[in-house]
Amino acid sequence: MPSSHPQPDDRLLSAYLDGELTDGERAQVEQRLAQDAEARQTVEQLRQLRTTLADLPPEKANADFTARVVQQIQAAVPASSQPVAVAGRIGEEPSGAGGQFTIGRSRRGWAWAAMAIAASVLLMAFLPQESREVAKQQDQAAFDEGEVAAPIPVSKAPLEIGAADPASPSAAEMMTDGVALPPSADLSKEASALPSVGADADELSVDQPTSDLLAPAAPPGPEADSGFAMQSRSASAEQMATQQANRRRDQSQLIQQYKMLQDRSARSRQSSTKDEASDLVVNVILTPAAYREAWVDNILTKQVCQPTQQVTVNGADKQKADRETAFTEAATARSTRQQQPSQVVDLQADQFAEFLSTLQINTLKCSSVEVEPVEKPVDLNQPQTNFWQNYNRLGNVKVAPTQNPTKPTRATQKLTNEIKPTDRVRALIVVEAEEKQGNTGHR
Amino acid sequence: MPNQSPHALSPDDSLIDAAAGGDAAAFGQLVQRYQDRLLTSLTRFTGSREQAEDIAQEAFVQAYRKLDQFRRDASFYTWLHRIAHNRAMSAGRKKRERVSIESLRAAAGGAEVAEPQTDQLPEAAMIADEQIALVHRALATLAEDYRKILVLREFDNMDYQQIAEVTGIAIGTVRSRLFRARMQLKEALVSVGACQS
Repeated sequence: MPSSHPQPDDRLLSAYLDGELTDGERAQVEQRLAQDAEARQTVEQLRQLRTTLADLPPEKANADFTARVVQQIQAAVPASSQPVAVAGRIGEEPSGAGGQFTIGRSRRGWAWAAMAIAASVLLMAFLPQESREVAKQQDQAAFDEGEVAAPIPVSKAPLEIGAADPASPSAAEMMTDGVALPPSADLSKEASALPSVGADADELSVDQPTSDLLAPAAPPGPEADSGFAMQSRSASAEQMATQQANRRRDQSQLIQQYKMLQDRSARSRQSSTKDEASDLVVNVILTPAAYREAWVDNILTKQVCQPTQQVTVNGADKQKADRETAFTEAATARSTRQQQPSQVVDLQADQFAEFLSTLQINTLKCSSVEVEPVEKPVDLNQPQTNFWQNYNRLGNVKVAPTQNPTKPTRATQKLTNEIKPTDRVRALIVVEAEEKQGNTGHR
Repeated sequence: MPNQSPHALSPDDSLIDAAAGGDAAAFGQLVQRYQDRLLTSLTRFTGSREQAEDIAQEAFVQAYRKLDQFRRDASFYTWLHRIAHNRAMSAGRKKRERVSIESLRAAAGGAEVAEPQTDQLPEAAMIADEQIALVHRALATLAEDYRKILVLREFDNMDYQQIAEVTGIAIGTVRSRLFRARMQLKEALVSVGACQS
């Protein structure tokens, strides 16, 4: 079948169907098609494939998809992540008068800002410097990954504190996620010394009166509602009592969150010490010739490393076990499918880079090398590495079959320059089916 | 239908401006405009309609959050697509799901793929669900990089230049990967009888 005997110019056939050739290339293809029955058959197969795919009916979103997305935007996107203005529940006037408020520009806005500052002081007071750095890095990492719109500014964080919905992550949790706190910290005592932390978010929503006392240092401004302020003063005693109750409740919530984070941190530290996983996982797909010459002759016979034919899963580390199981299954599946040996090997990065260099000499015999980083358990004592940063730095690099053999491959460069020589690499060596062997000279 | 040139005046611009100003309804119109296309692309890529819906929804929300970072040097859909497929690839990597040819054959044996009949119009609506699932499973046998490029070309109708922009690889690489992806998919489909050899 022509599909198993691709020639260097075969890719032009595919581009020919797509109308993506230059005039010269198109003329070259047409000339070949006029003479080469096998090429004509390949084009026909490709055309048939396109028809098969084109016949698939397009997907239609459910009728409520748009509404769900908009609802999610309004409900789940925090005010700090809105592109420009604060919209949604907070910005809606119950009277229907419309309009939005911006933090710091109205009485309620200043109340939010005051809460934010006070709660930030509370949080930062209990966090050691190192922990704050970790939290900052985590926020930045989440931003880089696109999980959040931006690192959450401290002044906006407490918007979630005291929120009625316990399922939603609080700002305190976001800021201190995974941070161990001193077990001896007497949070309630110290927190009580700080002002205005205990305001309930519900109490500050626009459809209920806002305490004047919750707006310290609020500039009166022309928009200040004097009648509203008088009303608040007349009920100040009752509201102070409410505030104190709210404050106690919020302090209690903070303490619970801290304990939870402390437990999580301890568990994570425990698991990270057990992890012995590889730093990289590499899938290498070789032609039979490359397997014999580059792998068997240069690596195995020189005893650079020995393949792990059967990976032992002891269940001690589930993440590691899962990874190894996946590898074993993949190796078995590929081996069965292709009737060729597949091997899992563990070796050092510098040894693997050398192996890649060997492949380079026979570059036409290597189908692909896929490098991907492995997610390791979080070690909270170390600065966090963003998965996508890792991926962009290391992942998705390949050895192109047509790579100039006189230049180091991109994969080799990456491995040589950016991976520590002592890093562990787990490689899955897969050999292409023997039926392609006769064509290796073209690869 | 290739995407419009990013340099042309985009009909999305006014909606993007409004959405960037906090107008969720305007963004809703953008969602409505691209949801089917994105959903089709993601369903072909992930092989799961359910997963595609989740990812599409997340991608739209993330796009809204990051709208102020959209520099408009590409079309809105190209940008949205990049967000969505990054999430899809991340999700796929976590699952480490790669369908083998063996499992594909097993699936085909149980699904009783209908033989194409010459007297039957090849209307899309007439394609059996099993056959669609089979094509999805065949797509799943491809490496992610190959599958992504194939989906961009065949289902998003992007030209090579646009594919290169979305994936960040050279056009020559797009060309060769696309060819290999097609040949591998052809083999997978032939092996289960979903496509003639």
